[in-house]
Amino acid sequence: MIHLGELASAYLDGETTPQEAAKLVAHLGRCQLCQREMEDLHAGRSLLRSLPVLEMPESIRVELGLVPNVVPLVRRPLTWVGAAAAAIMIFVVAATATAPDTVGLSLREVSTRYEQQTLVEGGVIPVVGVVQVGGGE
Amino acid sequence: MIDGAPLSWEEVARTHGRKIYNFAYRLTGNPDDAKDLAQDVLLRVERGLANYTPGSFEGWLWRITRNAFLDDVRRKKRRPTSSLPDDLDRTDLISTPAPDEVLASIRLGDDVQKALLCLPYDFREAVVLCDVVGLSYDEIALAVAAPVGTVRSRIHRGRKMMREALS
Repeated sequence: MIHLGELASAYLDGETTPQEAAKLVAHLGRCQLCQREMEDLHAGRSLLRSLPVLEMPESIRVELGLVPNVVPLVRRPLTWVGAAAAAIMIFVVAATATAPDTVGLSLREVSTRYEQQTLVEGGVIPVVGVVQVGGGE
Repeated sequence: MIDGAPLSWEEVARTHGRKIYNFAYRLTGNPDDAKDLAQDVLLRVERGLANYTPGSFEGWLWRITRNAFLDDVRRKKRRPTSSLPDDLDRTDLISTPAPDEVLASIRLGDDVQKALLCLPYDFREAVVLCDVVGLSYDEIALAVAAPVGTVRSRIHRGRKMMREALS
């Protein structure tokens, strides 16, 4: 063996055979040049291995669909506004559906029906705009 | 099936995602390219898992990663950037050492990264797979489709170049 060469790096990585390792150790004992090179290689290897480990950005997992995209907390009040609006709409539709059919009735007939319902049910929501004023009997 | 045990795409992403990203970052030198590359690799893994035959999973995975990087380089028709961006988000760091240690680490890390980017691709790839990813010489040989002797030589020469670039 003239000098260690690439065997030095392999030795640091534990990638030499027992025979190669024995030759290397024997050579190091008598060659200051290779001792210095070994120290340099060890230092360079340590620098590379001391590089900080970076966490994979969460956005990669999100964009690949690996994790659910959580709605930020600040947007939740808007959700309640939407739910409240939906509830109001349902109430209006239900009230409309259960309101008496007044289409085609005269004002007198409508008035009479409302008076009767008020007495029986304790009051209903009048449905505006469905009465045909001037409609024939 | 990988090494006799079923491994889903999600599991590969969870267990190897960080290594893939670090490999991509050290090879490209900037977070945007690293993110694009890591995403590309994970998509290729998803497509490739169906045809994966039991063997060296590490070799298979890093071959995919390497090919994705080389394809990206060919697409862009340019070599990777040779310097770190100023706005590098250091909140990605996993460990939380003392502030003075952080500053020293960043400066040192930047210098090492710059030196790494000065290496020709084959040598940079070999030292990153060895010292950053932690693969054995046999696994690197499988990943880069080269004999173990070539890998040994590239790692040795790559480290020597690093030392010269840093001195």
